[in-house]
Amino acid sequence: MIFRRLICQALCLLMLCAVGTGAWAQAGHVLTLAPGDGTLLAEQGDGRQQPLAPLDALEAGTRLILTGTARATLDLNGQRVDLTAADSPYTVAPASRGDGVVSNLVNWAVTLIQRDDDLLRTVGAVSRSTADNPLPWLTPGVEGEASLANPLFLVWRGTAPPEAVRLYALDEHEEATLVADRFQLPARQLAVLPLPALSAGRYQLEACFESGCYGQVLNLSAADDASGDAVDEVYAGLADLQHGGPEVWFRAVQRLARHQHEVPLAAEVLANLAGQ
Amino acid sequence: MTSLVQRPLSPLLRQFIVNLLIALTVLLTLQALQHHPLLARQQAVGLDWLMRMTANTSAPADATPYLFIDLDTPSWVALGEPHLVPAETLARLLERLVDTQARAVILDIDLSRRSLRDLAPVAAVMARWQASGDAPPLTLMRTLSPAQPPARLGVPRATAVDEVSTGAAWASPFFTLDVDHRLRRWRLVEPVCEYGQAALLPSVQLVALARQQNALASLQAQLDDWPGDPCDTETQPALPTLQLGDLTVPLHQPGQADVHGLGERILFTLPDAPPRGWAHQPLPSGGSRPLVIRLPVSVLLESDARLPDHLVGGRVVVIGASHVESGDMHYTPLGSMAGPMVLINAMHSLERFGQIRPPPFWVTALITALLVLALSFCFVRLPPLWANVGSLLGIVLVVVPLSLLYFRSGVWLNFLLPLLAVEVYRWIQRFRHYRRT
Repeated sequence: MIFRRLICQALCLLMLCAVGTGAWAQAGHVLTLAPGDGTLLAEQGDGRQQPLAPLDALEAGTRLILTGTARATLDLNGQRVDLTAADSPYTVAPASRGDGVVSNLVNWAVTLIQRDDDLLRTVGAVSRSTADNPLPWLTPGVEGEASLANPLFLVWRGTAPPEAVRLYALDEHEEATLVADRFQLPARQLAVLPLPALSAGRYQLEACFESGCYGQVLNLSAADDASGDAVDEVYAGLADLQHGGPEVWFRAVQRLARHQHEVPLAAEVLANLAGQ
Repeated sequence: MTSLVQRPLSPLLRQFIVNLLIALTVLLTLQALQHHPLLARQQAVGLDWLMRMTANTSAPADATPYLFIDLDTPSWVALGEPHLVPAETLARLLERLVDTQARAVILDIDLSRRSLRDLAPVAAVMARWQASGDAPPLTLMRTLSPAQPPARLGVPRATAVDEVSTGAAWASPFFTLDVDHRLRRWRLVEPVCEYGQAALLPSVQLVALARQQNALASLQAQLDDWPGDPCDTETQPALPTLQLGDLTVPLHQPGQADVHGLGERILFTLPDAPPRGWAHQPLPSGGSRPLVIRLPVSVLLESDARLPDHLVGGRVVVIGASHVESGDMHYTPLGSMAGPMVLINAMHSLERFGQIRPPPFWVTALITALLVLALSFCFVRLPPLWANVGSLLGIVLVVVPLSLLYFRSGVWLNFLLPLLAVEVYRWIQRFRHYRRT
């Protein structure tokens, strides 16, 4: 624990050094101005004062004075600064001018240490739904893993639900036999496909939308992998999504979907995967 | 002759030859398997990491700067959370840009499936745009109806403003999602079905590049010359290689041929909202300006005045949406990103880096040989502990900068793996030696 804290402190110090050594440049503009009964003034070097309006350019070092009940928001290279008369006079600071390789490297190293806080940010796609291009969370070409002890869950991106979800048993010649299907799925971007009594083996899961069908081969095992603690299961699913390859994603989605009603984080991640 | 055969090689030369053989074997294997999904995935991961390391770090003086006019969530809420962007809003935004010195204006909003009655305010501004001789060049988005088998060609959707925007360029805003649902690749052209024949629709970034090269008419002519087959043909002719001014742009069938190749990779360098602001680019006057400015729509709707030069002058203006229901948020190597920022990254990438091409094999082999020589020297001349630690440090300190140098091709694995193979081989040799002694 102490070691981890020391590393964090060292990395933070290094990051501050990286930021501190960077040059600064002037840049920015007035984003909004609510004058009320006052105004926003820029004081020049010779003491002259000039009124400012929204979108006017700001120079670094300019002194800004707000009078009365005026409120202003500045945009300094993407960073917002809210000002009232109480902040006057406010000297415009030079805006930062981006990052450096060192600070990027340090930021990356910090995310490695603080990976728990980083889980949601890095998990899955956040593409918003579009009715035109629904896309199921399946990875063709990669065999997924799941248990026969639970129903199968399918997540998709896009507001249009699949017309059908089907499960085919695959024999040794890759011949497919339909063993389960579901139609009239709810438009909530998560479908449940209950499984009849099946034997362990290879199956093909297929989701058909108006625009076409998507499928993934699954290895369905008889083992019940739902026996663990719900929170542990969800964290295992998150870890799989974050650090595992496509071969574990299907199993990860199953873990999250099974516990979505018990663990809000799981529901949140599923919504994220579905682009909601 | 006999004395030559019996003469022992020096330890350094012997080590070098063995190490070089190992390294070159690994390198040749990598070369042979370069399109294998596992290797392509590692290359993608490596390129993603390098992009994160070099993101937002520098902006050359001659790079095109951008202004992103953003219908963000607060602006969208302020407009009453409309399902479609109101035409009045679009018209007011465009109106503020007609008389500016913007380098180009790109409207990243789908105007199809809306009536002329709905789009009347936009049509009015378009007419004025056309009539004005000084208005910035305009690019509009052409979306497609869903692709149909067997050729899977989408049909371009007409819009109600087609007839009043003949001076504008129409472009496709589509990209390819990788198997992990990340957006990494562009589609420089989109094969579409037009009047029963396959045709090519240029992408936004290709139009921007053509404009920069003063070759927009040439681009359209070259695309029109492509001899597309009838739309119901399963396979279409190979895509052409374009000549835009001095630049040669080979085209690949988007999402199908060369899907694991580097030519379709976007080098993302501009994050969606960097916490310390966007990189600045130097100005001839001695100052600097941010490469990207992002302005919320709500701010621009408070006035109808022409936008000031310090915000628009010389910039490519992209009008788009990032609000929560825009349907235009994507996961990229630099994190979650609004669609218009993806367009900006694609334009910046094509302008600054062009299509990524790996270095010639002989360059990679030569550099590997030099690195192996240095590594062999370490193993022969340094004490065992120093040799192990020093060589590992050397690999990190030399290979990472080399990868950064070759950032555009992302071939870091081709340098790293041969050296690591040599390193592992030497460790095994030492371990055997210790066991024997």
